[in-house]
Amino acid sequence: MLTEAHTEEIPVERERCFYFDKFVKGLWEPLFREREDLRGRVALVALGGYGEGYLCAGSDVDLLFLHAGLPEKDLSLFVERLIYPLWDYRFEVTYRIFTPEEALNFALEDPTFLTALFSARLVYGAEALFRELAEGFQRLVAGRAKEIYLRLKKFREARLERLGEEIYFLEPHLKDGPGGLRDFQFLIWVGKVVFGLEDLSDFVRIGLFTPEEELRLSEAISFIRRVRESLHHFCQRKEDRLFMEYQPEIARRLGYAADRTGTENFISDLFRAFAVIKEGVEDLIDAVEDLFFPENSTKIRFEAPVPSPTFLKRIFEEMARKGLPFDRHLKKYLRGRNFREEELSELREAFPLLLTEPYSLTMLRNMRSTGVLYGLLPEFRRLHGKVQYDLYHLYALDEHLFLTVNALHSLKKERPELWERVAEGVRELYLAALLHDIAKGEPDHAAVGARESRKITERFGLDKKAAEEVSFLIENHLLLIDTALRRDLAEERVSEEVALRVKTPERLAALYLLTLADARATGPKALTSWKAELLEELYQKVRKLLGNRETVNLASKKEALLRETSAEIARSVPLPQLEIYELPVLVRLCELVARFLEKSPDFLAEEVCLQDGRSLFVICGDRPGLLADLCGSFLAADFRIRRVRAFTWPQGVAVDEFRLEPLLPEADLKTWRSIFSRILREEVNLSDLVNRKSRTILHLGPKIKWETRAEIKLDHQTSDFYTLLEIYTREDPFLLYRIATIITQSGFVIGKALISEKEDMSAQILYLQTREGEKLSAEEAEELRQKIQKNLKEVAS
Amino acid sequence: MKKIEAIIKPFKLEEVKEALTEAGVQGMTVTEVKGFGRQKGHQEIYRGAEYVVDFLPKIKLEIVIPDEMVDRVVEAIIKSARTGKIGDGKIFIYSVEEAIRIRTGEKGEEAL
Repeated sequence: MLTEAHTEEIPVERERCFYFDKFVKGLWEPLFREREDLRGRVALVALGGYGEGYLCAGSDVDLLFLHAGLPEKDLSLFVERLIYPLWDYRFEVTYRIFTPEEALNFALEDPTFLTALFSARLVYGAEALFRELAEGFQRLVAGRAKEIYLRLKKFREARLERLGEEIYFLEPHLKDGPGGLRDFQFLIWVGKVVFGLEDLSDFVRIGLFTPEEELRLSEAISFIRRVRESLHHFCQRKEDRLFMEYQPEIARRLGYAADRTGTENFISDLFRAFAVIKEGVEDLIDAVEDLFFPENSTKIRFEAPVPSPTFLKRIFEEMARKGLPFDRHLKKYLRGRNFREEELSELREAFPLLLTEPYSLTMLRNMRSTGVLYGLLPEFRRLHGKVQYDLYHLYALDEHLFLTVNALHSLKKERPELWERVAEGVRELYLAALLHDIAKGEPDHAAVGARESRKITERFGLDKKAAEEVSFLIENHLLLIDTALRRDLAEERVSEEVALRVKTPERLAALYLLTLADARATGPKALTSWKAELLEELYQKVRKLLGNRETVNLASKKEALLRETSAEIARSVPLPQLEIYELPVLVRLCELVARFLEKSPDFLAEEVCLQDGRSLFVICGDRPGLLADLCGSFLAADFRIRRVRAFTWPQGVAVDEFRLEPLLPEADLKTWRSIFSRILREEVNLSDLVNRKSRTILHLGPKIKWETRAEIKLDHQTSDFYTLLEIYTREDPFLLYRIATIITQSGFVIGKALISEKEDMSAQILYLQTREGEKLSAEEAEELRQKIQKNLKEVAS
Repeated sequence: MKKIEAIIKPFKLEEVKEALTEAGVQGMTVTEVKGFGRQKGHQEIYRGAEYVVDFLPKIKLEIVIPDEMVDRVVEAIIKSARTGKIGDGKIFIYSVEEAIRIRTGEKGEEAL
């Protein structure tokens, strides 16, 4: 019932089939000679693949023993004579025993058997009996075309629901997947049932396919069959799923280069073959449904007789907005045309906005299958069906990019708060999603892709700023996930670095959405909740940092600093210091830190001119209690502290700025240096020293007693890394020393300090952590507050 | 033979893996896990965004090694996984009764 056209050499499966037929003849002919009365009353009919003339290594053999009402004992002669040897040869045999009438009745009940009968072929035996079956079957099918078609269609839909609608899975199912062998069978069966066609050339004769399409279909199915045969042979069993481990070997056996490129080419060719068959099936379904259900058509039709630049824009716009498919005439037209520049111009202009429409995925896929995509984005030609080999990618590259665009649509609903922040940059985000992996396969594909994208976005009429935005997103599309998985998120500096790179909350939100969409479009394992949590943690931390400051200018300051000093040192500058100090001061600080690290003195101290006066910078190894020691040392040297801006660099170096004022005219920095040295070497009891000083100095100040108005606040929210302790109180030279001492004695660490005095009030903001590097618990913080409160009261009285 | 199970911070994976390879370990199993010890979750941080994390992401490493290697390997893990801040993780050591290589059937230390 089925013939194959256009084969040059006889494939192995056909040969095998031929020998099998002979084998059957060899077994049955002796039986017929013994029992001439039974000749003409029994026949062996092949169904399924064997019926079609293909016996793949390791395949099932699907048999029908057709008889004219023979008694059990006679039938069993023939059945056993064949089945036992087949079992001995380890064939998987399925068989049924029917009279023609029984077979036809059963076909009406069992859809699988019905479709199996489509490929029925007489192997050996009573021809008349077989004819009875065949004719009966034709009659059965005729007049039930619509019903059978719908049943076949339902089967196909169920099959595709199990296996997925799209071709570009990386471990394709040769038989059951979209565009696979069953889809081709569907094509032939439907052609048979609805139009009475026998083979592909018949399809051409009635105008359903063009000769080129027929040729491509024929080549595609031959190729897939060869792959399947090779796979069965390699696995020594009926394996239809082309797992990744098998792909290089099969590629080699089919004559592709024995390296990664060869395998990739093989899979790309396979995808193309699937695509051809799937398209053919869809065109056929289209034609059949026009016939059976003309009123149901909600397709975009081929209407404008004279295509204009608006034509392409109009049809793709409708598709992107409503998700309607093209009818097959329109598809054929689009496939057949090479569109000129003028014809593409309006579509090209509208393209960035079309991407943001809800059904842009359908639009992109149709642009690809009709070839229109390559008029807009020739870069996508080499991405077509390109395979990416790693644990996570389920889809070929172009499909992955389309799916990333689609993922953004879902994210719009799922993460509205992120979407809101993106606001103006939606168009750029969608473009970045489409182009982000365009240079995949090259080393540093993010940077290369970013460069390439500039040429592309220009083509679509984006201005420089928008093009930069797209380029930035592409260049950094891996930044968030790489940082979240590979850097220590407990380090504030890590979040600071990302904040400086990203610069604005809008960009951060866009980048986060792109990261999420990319992961979704990769496969289900790409973003486990484990990874998602780390990613979210990073996002929240960076968002908070960006919320508090103007980072755009800081980034350029940092770049300037990088030009002046070593990268490692420059990168260590905490964000707040980057904010506060001018470039020359920063350069000097970097030099001092570098020297400190290199020479390892006890400490370095230098007076530096700032815009608002001279400050003393102390560079020293950080340790618990350092700030208390410094404060104490200044007091001991007869200085009071007017302002402190103290930070710790990642190398564990404290870089503290002090604005000092002498309490006594003899106050001298040289004295201070020597005192501080001795403190560091533990040669001096600092608290004694300070106590003595306090008695002296107290006699100097004003005698008027003010009401102590101390305000102590604890802030657990502003920083993700520290608990903030804010103290507002009347100024007192010994205040800071006392508080710093209490904090150290309670077992906590001061990571940063911002202290200033204005007139008679002192504001102290201290960033605290436990010795283990965490924020304080609510209880710890409260206990500390009470201690400090108590101390302040004691001193006041 | 001993089985070493180490729970470490996620970003330390590469570093620990390199240290182990240098210490002579030839294979390991890695799992993404979540857990908590005394390190606090992030309840306070994300209060505004209604985001509460009790279990923190960690990496679990499992390796089986001959007895003589244990000290060396434990030290390598400690050195490479430590940050000094809370949440650095823990190492557990178990005795292994038998090890078999599936492909060849080799047993004992040969299978490692």
